[in-house]
Amino acid sequence: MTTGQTVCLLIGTIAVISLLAFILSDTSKLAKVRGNNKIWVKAVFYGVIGGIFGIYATIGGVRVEELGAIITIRDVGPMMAGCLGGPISGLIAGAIAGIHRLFFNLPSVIGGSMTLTESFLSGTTIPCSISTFIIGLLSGLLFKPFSTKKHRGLWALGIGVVMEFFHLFIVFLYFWGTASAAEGWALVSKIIIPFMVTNGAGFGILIYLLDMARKHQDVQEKEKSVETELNVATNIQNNMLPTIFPTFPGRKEFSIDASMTPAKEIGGDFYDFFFVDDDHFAFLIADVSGKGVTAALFMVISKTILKNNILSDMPLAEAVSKSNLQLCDGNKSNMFVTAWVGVLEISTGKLTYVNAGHNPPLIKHGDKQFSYLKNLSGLVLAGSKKSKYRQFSTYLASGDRLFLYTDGVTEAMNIKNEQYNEKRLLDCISRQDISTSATDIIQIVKADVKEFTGEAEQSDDITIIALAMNGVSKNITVKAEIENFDQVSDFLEEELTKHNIPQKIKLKMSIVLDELFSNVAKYSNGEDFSLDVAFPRNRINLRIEYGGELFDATKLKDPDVTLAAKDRPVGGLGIFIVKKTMTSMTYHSENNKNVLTLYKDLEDETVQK
Amino acid sequence: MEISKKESGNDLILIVSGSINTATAPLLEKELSLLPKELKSLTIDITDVDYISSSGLRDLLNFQNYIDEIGGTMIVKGCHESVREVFEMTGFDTILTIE
Repeated sequence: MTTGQTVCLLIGTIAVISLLAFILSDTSKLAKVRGNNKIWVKAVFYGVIGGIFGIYATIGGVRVEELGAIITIRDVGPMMAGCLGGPISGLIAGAIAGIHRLFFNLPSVIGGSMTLTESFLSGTTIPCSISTFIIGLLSGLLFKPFSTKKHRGLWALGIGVVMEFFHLFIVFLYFWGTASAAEGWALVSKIIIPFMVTNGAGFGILIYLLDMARKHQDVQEKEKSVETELNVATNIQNNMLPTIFPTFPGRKEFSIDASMTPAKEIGGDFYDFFFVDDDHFAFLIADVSGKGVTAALFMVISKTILKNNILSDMPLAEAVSKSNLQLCDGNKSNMFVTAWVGVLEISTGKLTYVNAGHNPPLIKHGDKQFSYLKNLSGLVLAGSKKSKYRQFSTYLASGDRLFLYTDGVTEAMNIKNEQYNEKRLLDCISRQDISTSATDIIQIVKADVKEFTGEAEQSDDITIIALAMNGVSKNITVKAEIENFDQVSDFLEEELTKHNIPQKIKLKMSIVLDELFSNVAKYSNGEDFSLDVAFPRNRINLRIEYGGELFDATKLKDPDVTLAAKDRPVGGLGIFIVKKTMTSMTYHSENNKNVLTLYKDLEDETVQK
Repeated sequence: MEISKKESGNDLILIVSGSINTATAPLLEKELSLLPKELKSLTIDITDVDYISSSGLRDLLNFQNYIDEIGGTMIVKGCHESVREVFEMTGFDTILTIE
């Protein structure tokens, strides 16, 4: 055999060894067998694999005809089986490979060229068979110590060398016994080096590859478990945020909705809202610097501290200042958090707020357009113990809106590295009309950001809170029939009186109610007529909801008020009077019902007169 | 709403008090059908009416058209401020003779 052939053979053998390592380490069903609880299944598994490998090596070995010997790495099979599977595996593999070696010349016996005895006695058949079997057993004894070794590849190399030395020693003894020591030495001395080298290297490489593969698998499994833990963390974080909407059933004065979409598994953004007492509702949005676990942990601390301080009985600015001091304490990792905190006094609509370095929210008063609420109270939280915070206030009337967000919205980037920016946000929100609910506006903005960023990956957490004021309203619901008019009329009269509305305006509201009710009674076939009255600052809000055919009464054409008596149509004046009397009247449909939202600014009257 | 009547010859005075709204307007409408054919002048005194809704306006319009048809005259007397505003708003101040 040429050197080239030997090298090729070697490469082929290493390839098979690699395949074996792969089979033994693989991630598929075999792994289940490997990890099987039933010891004997595992033992048989290793034993059979080792045996098959032994057979393969014997057949594929280099036959040295003149010596009647085969240079093979057959013993790697039993060694592997013993060292990895234990004594039983070693025994099985040794037996399979050994018996196969013993009957290796069987084809010649069947062919008639030699007898069975001759085949046993030819060359090294008997000592090789016996030593392969014994090596299987010996390796099995090494199972325990081998399993705990650190560099198992090197150990395997050593084991291979020693085992082959032992193998050839048996061969030597055999020849010494059957022929002479000189003959034995003549044979052994020629094959001992290739035997020790190939088997040592083969077993070493096998174990080395196997351990590499297993290590790789372990890393993967670890990564998977880290991922699982992160998922748990995501859940915990999500559970910390108020997520049940509508959050406060029975509270008709306002509606609030929120959403947080972390860029990674866990985020640094958070929001919160809760009642301080019956009349004070606190809500906040915040963004912790950085991302990942550190940010998430700081988020938990920040949220807890802020809530505790806001709940305690002190002015909002003071609560935020105190939170800042507490967050500064022990903040060795120099984290910080931007926050916008608001407390709404429900009975009056007064909104007190502190902005600690956070993005300016968008606010909408009445018919005015959305605009940014740019007041800044102070530095980010946890930034400096010297930070001072001041509070601001504004009033939220019925229909007013507030939109809070984190920089994940305005700084969302598209693939061209352009930012979504404040202007785009303002444009998007301004396109919505008054009937857009808090929930819808969040979805609309999120969709708009998504449309803008397109394929680009989300780089920062996106958090949004939308608050819509419905006002402190009182409700009456009756069947829309004329005989119920007095009931509704008395209710309104009572509410107007309670809120010290001047007589003149009271009468006007009575007319408005009359027109609305009579129209509904006429067209809605006795379905429910529901009236909500609210009195935000200097304003009277009326909201009426009624069944019947969906019809936008605000679209009715105004009657011609200049016609002579005989040319006047008898109808069409009612809605016209309402329009003229109220400052604003808008229509939308909700749950298949008509909703008219009207308000009267009390200032209108004083300006007119 | 209450309505009282004062008759002298071919002149009739209707004195209305309260609110002329959806619920009460039919009562006023009924008065229209009771008007004598030979009526020369009708005065509707609404000094004590605090407000009037479009149902009431419709009644007044029907009164006015009836009187115009029979060639009589009609005067609406004693307009409360809020009533006057509604008249002005709807152009009824140009249709009715308000005193």
